[in-house]
Amino acid sequence: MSAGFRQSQSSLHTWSGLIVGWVLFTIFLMGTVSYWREDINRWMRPELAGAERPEQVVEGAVAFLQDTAPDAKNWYISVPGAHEAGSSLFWQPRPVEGQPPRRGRRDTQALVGADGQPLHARETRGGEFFYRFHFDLHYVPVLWARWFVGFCAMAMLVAIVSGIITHKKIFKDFFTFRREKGQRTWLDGHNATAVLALPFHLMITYTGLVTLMALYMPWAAVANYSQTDKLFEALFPSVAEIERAGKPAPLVDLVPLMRDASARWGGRAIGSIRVSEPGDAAARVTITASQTDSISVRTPSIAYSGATGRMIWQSDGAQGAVQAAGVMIGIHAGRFASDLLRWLYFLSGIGGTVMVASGLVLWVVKRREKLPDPMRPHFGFRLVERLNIGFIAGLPLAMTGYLWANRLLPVEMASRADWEIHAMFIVWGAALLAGFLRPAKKAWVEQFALTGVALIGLPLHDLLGGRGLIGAGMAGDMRMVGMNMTLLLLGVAFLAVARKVQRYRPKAKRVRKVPAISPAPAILEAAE
Amino acid sequence: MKPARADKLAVWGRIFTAVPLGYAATSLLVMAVARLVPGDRAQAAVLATLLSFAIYAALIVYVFAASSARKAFAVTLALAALGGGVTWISIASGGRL
Repeated sequence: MSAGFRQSQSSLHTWSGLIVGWVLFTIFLMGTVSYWREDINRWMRPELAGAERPEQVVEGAVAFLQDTAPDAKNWYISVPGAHEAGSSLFWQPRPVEGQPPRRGRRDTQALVGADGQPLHARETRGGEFFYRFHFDLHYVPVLWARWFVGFCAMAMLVAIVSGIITHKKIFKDFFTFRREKGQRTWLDGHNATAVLALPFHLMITYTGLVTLMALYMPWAAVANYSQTDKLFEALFPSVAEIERAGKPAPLVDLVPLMRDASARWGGRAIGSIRVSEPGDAAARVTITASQTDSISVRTPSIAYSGATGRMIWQSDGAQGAVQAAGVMIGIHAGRFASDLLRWLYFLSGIGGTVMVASGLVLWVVKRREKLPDPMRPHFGFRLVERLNIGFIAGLPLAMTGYLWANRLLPVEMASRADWEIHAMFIVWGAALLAGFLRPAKKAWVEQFALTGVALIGLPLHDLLGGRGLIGAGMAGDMRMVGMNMTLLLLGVAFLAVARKVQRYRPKAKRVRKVPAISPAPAILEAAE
Repeated sequence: MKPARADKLAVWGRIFTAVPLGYAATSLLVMAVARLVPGDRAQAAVLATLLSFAIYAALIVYVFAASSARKAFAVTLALAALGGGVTWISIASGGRL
């Protein structure tokens, strides 16, 4: 490999990484915590008990729908997984002639328990917010956000490839870690987090692009089909739509159908059920398998007659490239992953987040020594240095603020769920501002320390309220015990980072060298 | 033109070649792949789409590694023409579903 080639890739790596680094840090961190989406959902709705038996919840859901929306066009019932409480339902009312169809209205959805009664929990977006934010962002139109996130993900892919090329001694460097050596420490740390989980970084970036490939790269579909709808019909075959017969007929019991479908799939769990034209002789029940039992997100479906319970249609398994796409998306989302594998996902995600963060800090550390006048750095340098604080230290603080808003905002508050999110952005805005206004080193220490204290405070707050760690432990709810312990551990880790940054004293080697504020070894050790 | 200014222009030229032009060239190459892969049309379209991000990344890496910005531009343009040409001939002769 020629030196010129490597040099060109080094510049490409530096700049493609810097331009999108802060966004990538945000996407990585939000995506990483989303591996615990169901647990965050439950933690943010402490009113709800633990999970119930899926079959009983479906019976409750049907009883509720038969009372509430007996003449709906469609019922959609999500079957709760092992970590979810209740079934979230929505229904599509019969379209009224002359009126546009109604979509996404709050009065056509509910969360229902096994007794058929709506479950009452505080209004919150829960962990879903982190998940959606990591590709939809917030306060901006979804399509723009997805294009922007896709652009950044593509830059990440280029940064990874050019980073590998830049790295001539990839294995030797991996076993090199020079502590307390300023820039070298940062470089070694960046290399270690990058190489350690390199397959993960490549996989997660590529498969992330694949999840939205129909948006980013629709041209292959255009090449083969005059209307791209035809491709989607070929890719996602579904049972033909039905006409209402106009003859009333009672809906069969759904539980035997669930058991039949599960048996046909070799014991897979059920993910969702759609009932079309309930109460009519033409009624149809379509059962779709859960994504937890296969790597691919292409889950099979079976349709039954709603009046007789006879099976009338079954989806074919996906094959070839279509199956490959389903598997790639499945590997990205990790919904199939057991708890152990999920921890590996989570830790790899943290590795990726730290890799991006250390790359951003390295940019600053590398340039500090070369500044013509260290006391008056040029605008670009200051901008990067200060934005690093507001993102790397500020975002975890803001996310903790979101969790605190969930506990502190009044339960009866109007648009409560929205205000939880506003609270996160208010904290983040304050952190970004403080990053510019406070001396840099102080800002790093303050924000890391505050995040640590706030994280530790969350389980303590719940303990004082009579719930939390001990309540969950007594109830045998190990998932919520784990959630509380994880918050505590993360809090301790952030405090350790803050302490390390505060104690850091760079050795003055050169006259020109500014008293560095680099929190270098701290983050790295926390990540180890 | 001063050398520094020429350098800057060359860098911006590479960025233009890599990002928007590279996307266009990738799209046309991906269309050609979707046309040329035999068998089921839906499978071919999905396969070509899955490969697209690797093609785009490789093209960007090449554009910044090429010995000159001019050469990178010319090669990218040629790849776009190749993809577009194959796609055009294939659709004109075979049509779409």
